[in-house]
Parts: sequence; C-alpha cells; structure tokens
Amino acid sequence: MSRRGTWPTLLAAAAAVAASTTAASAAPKPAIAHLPIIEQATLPNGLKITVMQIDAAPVVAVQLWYHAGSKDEPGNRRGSAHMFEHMMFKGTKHVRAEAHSQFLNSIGGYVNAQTDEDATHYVDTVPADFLDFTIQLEAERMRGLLIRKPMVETEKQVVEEEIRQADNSPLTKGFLRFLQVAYTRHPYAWTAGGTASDLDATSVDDLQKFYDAYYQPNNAMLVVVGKTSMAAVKASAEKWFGPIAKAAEPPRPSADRVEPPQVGSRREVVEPSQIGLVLVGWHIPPARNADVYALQVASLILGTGESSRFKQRLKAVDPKSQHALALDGGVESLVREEPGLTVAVGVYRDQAPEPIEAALQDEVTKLGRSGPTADELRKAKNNVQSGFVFSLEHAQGLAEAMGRSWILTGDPQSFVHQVDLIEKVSSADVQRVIKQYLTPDRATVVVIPSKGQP
Amino acid sequence: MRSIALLTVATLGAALAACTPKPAPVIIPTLPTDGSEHTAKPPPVLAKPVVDDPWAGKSDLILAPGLRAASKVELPPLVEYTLKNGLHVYAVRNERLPVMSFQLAIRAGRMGEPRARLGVSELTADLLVKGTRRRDAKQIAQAIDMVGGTISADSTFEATLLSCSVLAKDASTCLDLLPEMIETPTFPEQELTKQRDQLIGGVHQRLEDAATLASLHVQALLWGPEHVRGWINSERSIGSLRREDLIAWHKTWYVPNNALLVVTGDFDPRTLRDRLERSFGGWAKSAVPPVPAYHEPGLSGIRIRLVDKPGQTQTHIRVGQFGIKHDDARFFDTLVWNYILGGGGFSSRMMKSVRVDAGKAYGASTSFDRNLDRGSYVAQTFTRNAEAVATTKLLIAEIAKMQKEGPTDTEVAAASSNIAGAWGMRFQSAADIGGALVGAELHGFGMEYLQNYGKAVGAVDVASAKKAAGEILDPKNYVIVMVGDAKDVEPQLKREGWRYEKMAFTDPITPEVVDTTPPPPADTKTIATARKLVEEAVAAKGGPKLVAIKTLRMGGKGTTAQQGQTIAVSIERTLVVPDRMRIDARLQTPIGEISVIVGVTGTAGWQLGPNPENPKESIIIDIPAKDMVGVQFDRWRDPELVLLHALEPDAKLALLADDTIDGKPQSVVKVTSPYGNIDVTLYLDKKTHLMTRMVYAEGLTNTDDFADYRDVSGVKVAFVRNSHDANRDTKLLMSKVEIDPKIDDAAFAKPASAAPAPKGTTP
Repeated sequence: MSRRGTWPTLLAAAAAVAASTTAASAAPKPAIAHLPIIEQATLPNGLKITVMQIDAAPVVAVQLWYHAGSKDEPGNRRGSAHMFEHMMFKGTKHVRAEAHSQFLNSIGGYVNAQTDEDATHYVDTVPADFLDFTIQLEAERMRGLLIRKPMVETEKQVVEEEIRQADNSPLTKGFLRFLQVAYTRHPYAWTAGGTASDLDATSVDDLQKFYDAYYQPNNAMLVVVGKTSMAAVKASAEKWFGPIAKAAEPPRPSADRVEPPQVGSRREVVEPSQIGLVLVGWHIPPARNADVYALQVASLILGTGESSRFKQRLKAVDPKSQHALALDGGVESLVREEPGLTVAVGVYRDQAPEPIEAALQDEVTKLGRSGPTADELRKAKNNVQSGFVFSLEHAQGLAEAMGRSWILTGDPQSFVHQVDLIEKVSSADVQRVIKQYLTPDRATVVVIPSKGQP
Repeated sequence: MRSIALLTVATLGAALAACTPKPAPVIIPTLPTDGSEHTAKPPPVLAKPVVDDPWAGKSDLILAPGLRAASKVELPPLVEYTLKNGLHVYAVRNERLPVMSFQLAIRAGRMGEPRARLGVSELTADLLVKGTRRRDAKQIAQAIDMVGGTISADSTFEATLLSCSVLAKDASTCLDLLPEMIETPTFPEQELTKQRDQLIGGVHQRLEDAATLASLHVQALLWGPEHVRGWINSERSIGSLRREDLIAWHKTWYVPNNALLVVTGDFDPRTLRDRLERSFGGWAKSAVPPVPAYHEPGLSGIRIRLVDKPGQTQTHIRVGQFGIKHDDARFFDTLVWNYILGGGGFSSRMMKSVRVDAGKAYGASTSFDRNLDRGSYVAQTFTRNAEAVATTKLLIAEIAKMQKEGPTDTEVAAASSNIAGAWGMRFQSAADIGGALVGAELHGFGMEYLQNYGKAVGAVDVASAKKAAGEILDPKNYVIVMVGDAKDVEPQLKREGWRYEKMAFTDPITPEVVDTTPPPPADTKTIATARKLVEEAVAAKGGPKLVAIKTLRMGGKGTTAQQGQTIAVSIERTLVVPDRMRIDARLQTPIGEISVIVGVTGTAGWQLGPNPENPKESIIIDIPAKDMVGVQFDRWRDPELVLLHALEPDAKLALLADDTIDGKPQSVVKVTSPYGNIDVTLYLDKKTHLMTRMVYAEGLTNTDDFADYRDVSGVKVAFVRNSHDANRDTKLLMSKVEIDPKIDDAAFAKPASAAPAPKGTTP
C-alpha cells in the first residue's frame, strides 16, 4: 500500500490535469452512445453524493473528497494538509490505528489517499458487497479521528523523512523553487509536501483545528462508481454520515492571497542535478474559465505524443552534430481551482539548456502566430475523445475524474461536458489564448543545470 | 510503505507521458537508491511501536469484515480460431464501451537468446515502432497519435508482446500498424544506435542502484553461467548487438504459427475474422526452431556472494532458491503460503519479523516467477550495513519455519480472501481480460483458468499449503547475495563463520563470453555507413513523402536503339505498394505497333503481348513461376522505391569504393536484393544525395542513369532516364508522373481477352 503524499511533482500535477483534460474529453459525434448516468444527491448535513452505476465487474470505487488542500494551509503551517492525511489512518474512536487499511486489504481491496493543492481524497476500491462497510469506515474517520500526541509525533517523523527525501533531490528542489518564482503571493507557491520546519511547529491543536474546519460533511463529496445504485449508496450514507452535524463553511485563506498579474519575465538557475531540466511556466486562468479548454488543446499539440511539436523539435537528431537538442520534452497545463500554470519542460543531460529554452519558447510563439494545422487540431481532439472513452473502463479512474471535477468546477459532471467544449475549440481560439497567456514577457523560467553538461 | 513521489527522472518521464499513453519516453530512469546524492536515503528503520493503546478493552470497535468466499469470475464468452497462416486468435467481445484492443504475443523472449546475443529480444521489440517499410518512427507515432490510441512492443523472459488500443471506429489503425510492425520492420540504424545507447545507459545506471544489482546477482549465482536465467547483460553484450542480429531474431521467431492474437472489445463478430485474415494474411508461416533447453543446475549447500559497493550505507539482501513451474499442481498452494510468508505486504510474516518485531528494516518480501520453467523463489530486504547478517538470518529463519510448520488456518483463510478478492475485481475492461488471457494462453491455460482462479485459491487448505511449502522450500540449499559496503559487512560474515565469495559491484555479473558465432560477412561499420548513405538518399528524394507513397504511375516516351535500329517507345509503369505492378509498353516497330502489358500481384503475374508464333496477334500468358523471380526483382528495383527496399531487413547492404560520374563524386552502395540475390549497385551523388545511377546484372549488366530531378508532390523524380546494356540503349523522357493516384484494382487483374487495352487508359 502506498499512500502517495501529495507532492506536486509534475507527475502528481499531470495526474491531476489528466483528470481534467485527458479524462475530460468526449466526441462531437459521440464516441459513446450511452454514457452511464451520473446521479447526484445531497444529505441534509451538506454531504454531496455522486454515483455512477457500472455493472462491468463486482467492484465499487468509493472515494471521499475533502475540499481541503495545501492552499488552505496557514502560511506558517505548510504541509499540514498532507500530515493530516497520514493521521486519517491512525485510528478513530471505533477503529484501531491502521485497521481501516487492514480491513479492506483483507477482502482484496485497495486503499490509498492523496493530498494536492486543492483537495485531499481517500480511495477505497473494494468488492461491491463491501460498499456499506466501506462507507461506514469513511464516516467513522470523518469526525471520529483520535488525534493523539504520541501518534502525531511518530507520524511527523515519517512525513519529515519524506520531505528530507524530496529535499535530497535537486530536481524536486528545482521544481519547488520554480513554483516560488512563479507565485509571489498565492499559496500555490508551495505544494502539499510542505516544509520540515513548519511541520515541526505543527501541534495537536493545529491539526485538530484543521480537522474541525475542513473534515465536515458540507465540505466533502462521497463518490461511488461501480456495481451499485444511488439508492444503495444513499441509504448507506444516510445511515453512517447522516448523524454528523453540518458545520460552518471553512475558511479560504487563499482568497486574501490573490496572485498579482505577472509583469515581465522571471528567470533563475538553480542547483545542478544529474539530469538537467528547463522549466518554462506561464500563469493561466482557473478551471472555471472557458479559456482553459483552448489552453489544454495547445498543450496537447505542443507536448503530447511522440508526434507533438516539442518532442519532434527537441528529440530530432541534427544531421550535422548527430545530437538531439534534448532527451525529451513535454508540456502540461496545470489547471487548478485557482489560477494555475502551463509548464513546458525540456529534459537533457549532455546538451546545453539555452537552445532548449529558446526552442520551447519558439514553438509556443510559432503556434500562436500560425495556429495549429487542421490535423493537429483533430489529433488533439481525438486524443481528448479517446482518453475520455478509455477513462470509462475503470471505476477508480472515473471516481477520480468526478471528484476532481467537483473540486475544480463545483460540478462532478464537468469532465464529461469538457469533451464537448474542447471539441468546439478552434484554431483561432488556440492562437488567441497563446497570445494572451503564453507570451515570453510573462514566462517564468527555471533551469536546473545538468552535471553531465559539457 | 509511504513513499513520497519524488521528482526523479523516472517520474518526470511518466509525467510527460501521462497525458497520452504512448511508448515510454526516451528517458533513462534514475532509480532511487542510497549512495546517490540526488536521491533519497532510505527511510529510517522503525522503532518498535510504543505501547499506547487507547482501544484496549473497548467493546464498541468496528469489527473486521467477514472474509471473502471464493467464487467464479463471470467473463464474456470467448471465440477462438486459427487464421490460414497459423495465427491463433482469441476474441472476447464486450460492447460496454466502443473500444478495441489487440494484443499480439510472440513466443520470443529472453529465454531464447543466445548467450552472445543477450538483449536481442528486447532491442528487436523496442525497434518495432521505430520504422517499417512504409513508415518511419515519426509516421508511426503520427498514425497512432492521430486517433488517440496507444501502441507498444515489449519483450519479457518468455514472450514479446505487441499491444494496440483504439476507439472501435479506428480499429483499422491497429490492423494496419501491427502487421506492418511484425512483417516489415526496418530496424533503422540510427534508431538502433539510440536504443542501444539507452540500454547501455541502463547498465551504467544500475551500478548506482544496489537493489537492482542484488536482484541480478541472485539470479546469476542461483542459475550459474550455463543457464539462460543466469546470464545478465553488460555494456559489452549490448554494444555487440548489430542490426543483422535483430533481423535474424525477427526472422526466426516472428512467424504467425509462433504467435497468438487476443482481440477484445466492441467488434463485429461477423466480420472480424475476415478483417484479421486481410490484415495478417500476408504474414508468412514458417518453421520455428525449438527454444533452447538448459540443464537445471543443482544446489548443494549454501552459497554466499558479497558484492562490495563502497560508500553504500544500506545492504541489499537476497535469499534465492528454485521456484515452481506455473503448471505445477501446487501453484495455488504456493500463492497462498507465499502470501503469508512474504508476498502479502504489511500482513506477511517476514515483514512483521524484520520491520515490526526486530525493527531491522523498512520492509521485506518474497516472490516467485510465474513461468513455463521453474524460475526462482527470492526473499528480499535491505537494512543498515551493521544489521546485514542479523537480518539475513531472520529471513532464513522465516523460510525455515514456513518449510517445517506451514501456515495456520487463520493465515490461509486471510490470504485466500485477499487473493481471491483482488482477483474478482480485476476484470473491469475488455483489455483487462485480454491481458490476462494472453498470459494464460501462453502457458496453455484457457479462459477457465481466469474464471476459476479465485475458486482454486479458495480450495487451498492448511494441509495442502503446508505440504507444498514443505516440498518447495529448501532450508538447506540456497544462495545469498548481499550488496553493501564490504568493510562493514565482511566482519559480520567472518564472525558468523560464513564462507562467501566477494565481487566488486563494477565486475560483470555474468562472466563475459567470447562470441563464437561466425563473424558477419561484412564489416558492420561499413554496412552502417552504407545504410546511412541510403537513408540520406531517401531523405533527399523526399523522406517521409517518399516513404508514404502508396501508389505510383509514371509514363514516358523515348527511343530504344537495338541492332542498329532506333524505334520510338512509350512506357507506363503503375505500382501499388507493396506488391502490385503493371507495365504498359508500346514499341513502334517496322512491322507496326507492339504492345506489351505485364501485371503482377504478389508472386503471380501475367503478360499480354505478341504471340511469338504470330506477332500480329496478342496472347495472354501466366508468367511461369521460374520467371517470376525476375519479375519480382523488376518490381523491387523500381527506381522510385529501390532506396526504400534497400533499407528493408531482407536486403543486404555493402559499401563500395567512391566513384565519379561526369566529374561528380559519388558514393557507391551495393544492395543484394532478396529476389534471386541479384546485386544492385547504387550511385549516390555526394552533393545532392540523389541516385544518379543504378547497375544490376539480370543476365546482361544493365546500367540506368538518372538526371533532371524534379519535384512531384514532394518527391524528387528523375525525368531523364537512360538505360543501356550490351545490346540495347534506351532514352526516356518522363511525361507524366503521378504520386498516389487512385488506381483501380482491375488494372492488375488478368484481362479476360487478349484485345490490348486502348492506349493511355488503365483498366
């Protein structure tokens, strides 16, 4: 069992975006005739319930999404959301420490949790006949957690060790620095990983406060996908979550920390690593802004697949020098609840970073100037469509998409609608958003030099 | 295990690939290991839990769920049949989603590799997506990216697996690409170099990765240098792999009667078989040699290898012995007792012993191979150097205890509940079923295996598990590998009186072998140069545009001089890639116009021409088989396509000395065609890289000269062509050149009557 702790590696970031982009894709002529119905309900205490019934296998993916991420942390308690995620496995009034996982593992289930900038979610994928039991366990830890000092201290060490591991990696450090350069005010400047000194200062009281503010039914959504029905899920949720009282709306500290518009480009060279990275980022609007669809299409055209512009440019072997510009490259639009980033990456070892940076900027500018070809536009949309259809194969991935959609847009179905919205993106839209957002004078560049560099 | 996702290159690679499931990006993963400054130190060894139990004595705790009763998994029905070429097909229809997945398994894996060719199986698979006769790497990527699908090829110990998944409406993309990849891979030299460098990079990287080193050393020590399982690749073994090796490997194993195809998803069952016959029908059946068999080495006593890696703070430990075959009757018993011993993660005995009770290590586990042969049974852990021997003893003690006493009733019930429960949740998508089916069928098990797996696990009881563990585990004969800093570990071994062999972590894991196979006929370097020249010529001629040509029609007029007579000729040549050709020739002879038409499809052809008995009359004949080789050679050496054909695996390349034509320096490359082994010499202009001359001896030595290259739809075509042999001199000026015109299949069909078709039309 691996509880992935919330590190906004590009991987986690990509996974998050994958939920909103790749998974968020459908066809103009529906690639799928009858989409399984997504049903929604809300309990009187504010707990939202979203269910998609799929009878393909005797499985249910049960997930509890809390609208509480690292951007909700106080600026001097960075990492507490992730720390909290660990505590959720450490026992409640009626469940011993680690028993939640042990119980579900014993029936072949899969248990995990993840904290990111905007949310923390808990994953239980189990045989369908254990739905009620699993919901009982999730309800138990929504309000029944025992936050005990000895357990907090032990777990702090574990989490701090994770942070130290990350600190040992120049690549991770470089990426974290990149975020700090890009965000001068907004809490997206840090990730859910947090810092050891803040964690050290985190007390039982701090954790209890965080728990009481955010782990409440009116700040959560129960998502169930698989062989079940809304009636069954609702009955079980009413039984186990029903008795929990509604709480006050949680505070949103990021509302007071809006990132000012970036004026002028920023550039930094950080500590070298075995493998070099060139990171180029641009601020983009939040998930609820319609421009994100064109930005996602631009990302796909620039960096997704071996035939994308970045990969073709960076990986092509120059006939004269017999070398490629870089080992690899790509781009992701990190679409978040609040304004995110589009990040272009070049990976290199023996090459020099400057030509890579120039090539990345050049490809973006070119796409803005001339727009995508009809084939590229079609390819991007086809990828979105097929990604959407394939995302329907597995219950767990679908539950993720629904939970992520809710966090990003307030609507657990938005990943479905996005497919149509992306289908409508035109070549002119792509050009417009590139000219509006991805301009060289608004870029944040961080270079992690390669030790292998000549 | 709580591991934070580090931004390693491996995760970055995954991140870059995350948006689209594609062949893995070309990135050499940096594996986390201690001793490497940019990766994490292992987490601290956990202290024994503090006695702190707020739940003691409570009666209102939520109780553990009941265990899972093992049950049969419901799967959709399976249809199976064999195509004409011997390719066995399994089709599982599932209409839930409009997707289709093709999984083609070829029984060619590491177990069949000659000792001097380690890695040939992997490299061959890696290059399948890097170029076919019709597409280069970019075009393959473009084709699959365009439909948002995925395609990949990978090789394992036993098999090579090609996999293609697309929306059902795009199934033809897979049905085009897969046959191309298996039938006509070109193994481009440049891509081979890239891929080989990457594998060598992996060999370098593993020197920094004590865990991988330990896992490789335990196989080498257990199986020894006379068994394929004991052979571990090296920079030298990978560096010695040549394009010819890949071609030979491909030719030997990539045949339909040595493969199986699983098709899953939303297809039309009425047409699937025909579609598969059409797509894979050209893949020719051929005899398959037996996979080499090796004598299983015995083990007597305990062998210990210490691999010295100075500066290493953690010692990686492996305890290895022989496993069981997948078809062993005790397989399911072994699944269960292994789960209890070390396969079951945090709930296993070994984990509890080293992590919780002794606080010696972060974790420990056991695993066994699921193969046709016995494979290995390996226990693994890592610990601080100072605890290396003590921790090893814990592993051995747990193995010995399981061997002697077997598991308990409670353990068996819990293990089988977990294994069967997880199995029951495993088949959500059609591709999930397909993947499992490939694995089962390669080992001769069918769908029932998948359906009844859970029940078979449920049938294991404490007696059968105990019996199996007692028979399979060997408490006396096994091997131990430790990879750590010898200065810390050696004193412990000596104190214990354990005898061991010591190696440096940089030593070859398997003793290097001298290549005893005969050297290739030509210097590989010059072959590579020749190949590069042809690749440059392809690029100059149009590169991707040339490669993409599907049909071609060109007509020209001129004269031919023979025996002092000069007559007017016109010729039209029509080609449909790969194997159709038609030539319409008209000669204005003193006795009137003679028309000759030749049509070829695959290995059959016909000719419509003057009756030798009565030249004024036309007759149609089937070209006799003995002459077809020559006709196929003519098709192969078509000036527009010969460069592409020269890059195919079945053509042999050689570099000849430079030459000049009309004062212009030329590179000269010889290509031996697969048709009649006829040598074709290509003269490639050093400046333009375009072909200026082609010489071949089909009976008489024929020389074709090319000039006046013009651009036609992005392809450079010579408009002036002179051809001469000892008897004949023909000068042609092209008047009509069409790239990818629409061509009716009827053009290649043998005409029903001998009336010559009207000039200038193509039936």
